[in-house]
Amino acid sequence: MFAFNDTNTYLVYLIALAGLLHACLQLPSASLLHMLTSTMGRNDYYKAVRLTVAMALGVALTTGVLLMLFSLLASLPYALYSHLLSGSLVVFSGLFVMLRYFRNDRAAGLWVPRTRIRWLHKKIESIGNVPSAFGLGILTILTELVISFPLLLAAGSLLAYQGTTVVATGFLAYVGLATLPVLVFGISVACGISPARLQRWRSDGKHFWQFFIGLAMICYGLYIASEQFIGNGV
Amino acid sequence: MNEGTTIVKRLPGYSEPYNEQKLLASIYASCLSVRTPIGSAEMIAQKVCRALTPWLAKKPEITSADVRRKASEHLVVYHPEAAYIYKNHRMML
Repeated sequence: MFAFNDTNTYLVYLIALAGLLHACLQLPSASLLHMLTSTMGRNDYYKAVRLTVAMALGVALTTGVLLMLFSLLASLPYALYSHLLSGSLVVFSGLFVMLRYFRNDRAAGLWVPRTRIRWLHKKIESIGNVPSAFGLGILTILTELVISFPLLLAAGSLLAYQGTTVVATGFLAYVGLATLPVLVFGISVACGISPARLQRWRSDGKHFWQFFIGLAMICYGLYIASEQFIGNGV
Repeated sequence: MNEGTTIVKRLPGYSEPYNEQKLLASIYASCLSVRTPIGSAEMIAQKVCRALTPWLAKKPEITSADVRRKASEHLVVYHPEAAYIYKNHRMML
């Protein structure tokens, strides 16, 4: 029941890679940064930590639920070509990320439509407590679902029909990695790193990030799609 | 305090009279968000608002983006990080 052989390890690595690519999508971490600059005053380190943990929990919970849902969908009887479908969708999503993830402005504005961004701004600026930070975590994952659902579907299709060990490890790997950027940004701000510095880092590296992540997603999608035919133990 | 200037907001058709307290509060909040001490943040906000007054006196109507741009040009002299956050606050997402 708890066997962990080479095939299982390979599967977990693939799922973890999907989680890593999901972690590279920046809406949750950018929203956290915006929230912390809006709510933080001097010496509010503990508030920053509380809000970060609440938001990270929201992100983790939503990602976990969505991953379970897609895994169930991929294990339905008619989902015979789930690898091919999810791989293709990851490729298209990667193309979109490569071409359109960041806007062509001087800061690191994201692809989300402006009306939706204005609404998010209002929501973020009104956040001051733990439950609303938790809600923001859920909201950002759902907003970016358009881009991230192929990755969730790919990970779900890899988890389908697997044993308990692979499912548990893969699930934890994906959710843990997807939540990591929020935790890293929040703890950095709580430890004294200026939000301006983090925002500048996001802005300066955005073109490289966009190209690299898009390319990585395309390669990952092609690999997953090819698994349908090559069947390398998956 | 210049109250004769009208600020044209981003929402179409919406404008309001210039309110120095609002500008003061937004610059103060930007300074606090980068961990500036409270006294320093108050002083910087007042200095920036005072520096903006002669520029505003010449303008009957300006956009909120103009105010933000001009305020960040003055703020960068006192606190570059706060100026960056203030200028790009609406473009973090």
